[in-house]
Amino acid sequence: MKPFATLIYELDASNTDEAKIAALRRFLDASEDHDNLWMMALLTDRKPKRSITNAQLREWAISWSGIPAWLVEECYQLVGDQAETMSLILPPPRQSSSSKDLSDWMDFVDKMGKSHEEGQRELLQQAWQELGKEELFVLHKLVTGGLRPSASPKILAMALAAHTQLEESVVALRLSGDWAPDSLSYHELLFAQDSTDDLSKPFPLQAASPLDKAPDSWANVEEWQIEWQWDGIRAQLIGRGGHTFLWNKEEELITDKFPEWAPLFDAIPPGTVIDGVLIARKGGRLLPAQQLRSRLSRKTITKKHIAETPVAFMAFDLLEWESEDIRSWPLQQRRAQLQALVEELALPAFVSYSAAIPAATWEVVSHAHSLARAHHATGVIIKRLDSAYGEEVENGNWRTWKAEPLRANAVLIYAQRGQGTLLAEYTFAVWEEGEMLPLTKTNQGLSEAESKHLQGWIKQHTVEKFGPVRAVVPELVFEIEFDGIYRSTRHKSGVNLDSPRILGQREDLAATEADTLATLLSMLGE
Amino acid sequence: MLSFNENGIYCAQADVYIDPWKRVDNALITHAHADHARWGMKHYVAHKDSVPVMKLRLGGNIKIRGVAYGEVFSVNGVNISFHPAGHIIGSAQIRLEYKGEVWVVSGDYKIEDDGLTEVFEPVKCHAFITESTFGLPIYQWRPQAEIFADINAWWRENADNGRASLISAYSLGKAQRILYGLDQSIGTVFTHAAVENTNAVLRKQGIALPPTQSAESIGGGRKTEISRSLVLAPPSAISSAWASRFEPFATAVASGWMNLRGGRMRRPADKGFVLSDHADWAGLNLAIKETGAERIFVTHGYSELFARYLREQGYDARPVETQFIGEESDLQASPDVK
Repeated sequence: MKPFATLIYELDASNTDEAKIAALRRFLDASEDHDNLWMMALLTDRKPKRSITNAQLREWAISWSGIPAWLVEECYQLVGDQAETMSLILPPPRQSSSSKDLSDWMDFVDKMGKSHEEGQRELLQQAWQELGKEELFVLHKLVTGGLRPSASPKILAMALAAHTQLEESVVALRLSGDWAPDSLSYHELLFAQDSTDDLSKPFPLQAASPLDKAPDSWANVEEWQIEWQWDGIRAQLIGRGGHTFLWNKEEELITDKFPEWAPLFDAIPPGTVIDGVLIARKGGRLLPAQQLRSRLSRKTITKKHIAETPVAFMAFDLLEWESEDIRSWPLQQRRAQLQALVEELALPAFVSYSAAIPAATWEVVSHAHSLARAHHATGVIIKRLDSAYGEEVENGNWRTWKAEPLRANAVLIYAQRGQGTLLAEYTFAVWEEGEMLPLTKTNQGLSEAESKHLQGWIKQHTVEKFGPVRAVVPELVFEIEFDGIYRSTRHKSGVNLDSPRILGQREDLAATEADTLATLLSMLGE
Repeated sequence: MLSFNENGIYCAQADVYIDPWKRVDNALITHAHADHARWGMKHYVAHKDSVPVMKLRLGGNIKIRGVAYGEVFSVNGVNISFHPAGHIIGSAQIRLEYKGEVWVVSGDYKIEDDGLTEVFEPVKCHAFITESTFGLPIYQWRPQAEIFADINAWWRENADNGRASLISAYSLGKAQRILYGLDQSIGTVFTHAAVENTNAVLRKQGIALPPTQSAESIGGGRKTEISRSLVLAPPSAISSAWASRFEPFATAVASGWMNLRGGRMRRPADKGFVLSDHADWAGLNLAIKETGAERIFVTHGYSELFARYLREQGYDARPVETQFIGEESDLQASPDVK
């Protein structure tokens, strides 16, 4: 377990892809195949279901450690993570290190899942006497289902490719399929002779690199295709050998989230792979992507969900046609084939063709960009017409030009001590009928120096404290930037902001000059 | 016997301050770190091993008297003695006894024997003034042998990959502690001038430090040696152009704050080692218990929380505000000290 815990900590602490790959390679080189397989499973989110809650972990750890509950709560406020806090307060293990490897501990996790509460508690108490704090942190995360390693499947594929001398794309393809560590071996997964018999395997998706300014000085607009960037979820639709599969960008299989499409799947010709984006659409109008995400997060999809959030697949690229990998075709040709396919399908409630925006000049493109929000798009995507479908972002064949962010002036009302010490979370409010109404909470956007300065101010202007939260005198106005705004029943203000961040303080504005809720509601575009 | 005023911790009977933060006539100094040994006192008394470093930092013309551990001197009926605190070379707890009542000021301390510093000695007293830099149960240190094994393994891996290893270390204390635990068979240990100046003073007073080379004199033609070397330098140097002479290199921070994942993730260093010259949670509790004291004053650190915990354990404990900082404050914002 120690090498895996070390890996998790190294991935957390490293800030470059290179360092992450090096850490992964160290683990791969030093570990047995069965541990490598488990590591790959855990890093690609094939983790066991949680067997206990954070509350159970906390209660049992408090009782085992003998530390008063109030003090553990204070520690948690500082650390910011239950699994980590509990790993730190437990007394050091009696044995200095455990010889059990990752697979043994995965058996332990499996046993936890099959035990009754008392048995689970006893199992954990045994583990607490065997493992050091870093290993315990990882084990706590595994049993509470919260392990989130900071390495993408892409990084893992790069490390595995270096380790095995396989092509990175081959590794990525094999990692992305429908497998589990108890269903096959490390060798079967990576070195199976014929991977094409696994019909479900998706292609790695082409990503777009961001464009931060208008392309108006670019030449030859006719060499580019302009599309709306829909506010939805990127997905890949695969029809092969009489089966249909739908993958999201994280390479999770989401086919069963769309029972309403099941009767239509037969219409897709075998040997077809389409790249596109899932959008929620009702009565010809787009619904917020958040509503779609919430539908996807449901375990079972009811008729009610389907009626409330109808979904369509906006097809924008064709990767496999008549069982042939056509990614090397130029975009223009792939698109023509795609359009013909979608027209023939004639199932607009299922698959729609994401048409290009006709643009004869770059001015037209800029104009479209400025209208993106009105079209419920998050921006425009610009693609080179003669380009092959690639995996490299750097080639610049696909560029995304995001719509200008939205902005609001809001008043600082609460500050919450952050996890650790410096990163504080700030809550901002806007006016509604003469009252300050909490609008959004964020820790993004301030530099360390600004943050320090603000915290000094907060200490001197605290009017009330509840736990880690300080209510402050509502007098500082900040400009908040965000990528979108949606209706929400979970928020007091009735709206939720997408990716809010602090642009800076508006020293020129008094609190009374901050925005009203009405201004925010007008941004909904309803 | 002791009180806390705007100048520091004060003994009225002897008219002396302990680690004062404002200018006073008579100062007893627990150790030579800047938040405890400040400039501008008329007379200083410190452990004899602290004297040369204090002269280096505060000027050669300060009026200072060095005393040995256990040596008792009397000021207006108050018997004063210095006892090992285990924090850094020359660090002391200060014991004051008047008419049978004993108070001890801990300064900064750690319990673990680091092999270089005189080991912490529990001193029986009625009232104990303790630090609380790491006074929460989330801070529990592993034995230093394990930490040094990790540091040496990191160094060796860097050396084998042609990268120098740069560790942020304050010139007094942490630098010597790390130096003492390094496996010199891996490569050369280079030091920044700030570290080397302190090392020179310590060596001159007879302290056997492992060999180091000044990084200031590095010339050409030593590429291989540099790529296998370990460098001890203050954090400010490691994040500046000064460090470019060692490229390519990996960086590390050794600090108690590295015990939290959040602390590691926010450091711009490649690696974090949990190594502190302050007592951990178990160490603080053990030290307090061994003094036999009933009254506990808790200074810099998690003073309020730790004092509350001690009260629940049956002590008469209360937090006290001081201007001490604890472990290298600029490695992390210090916890809310109220």
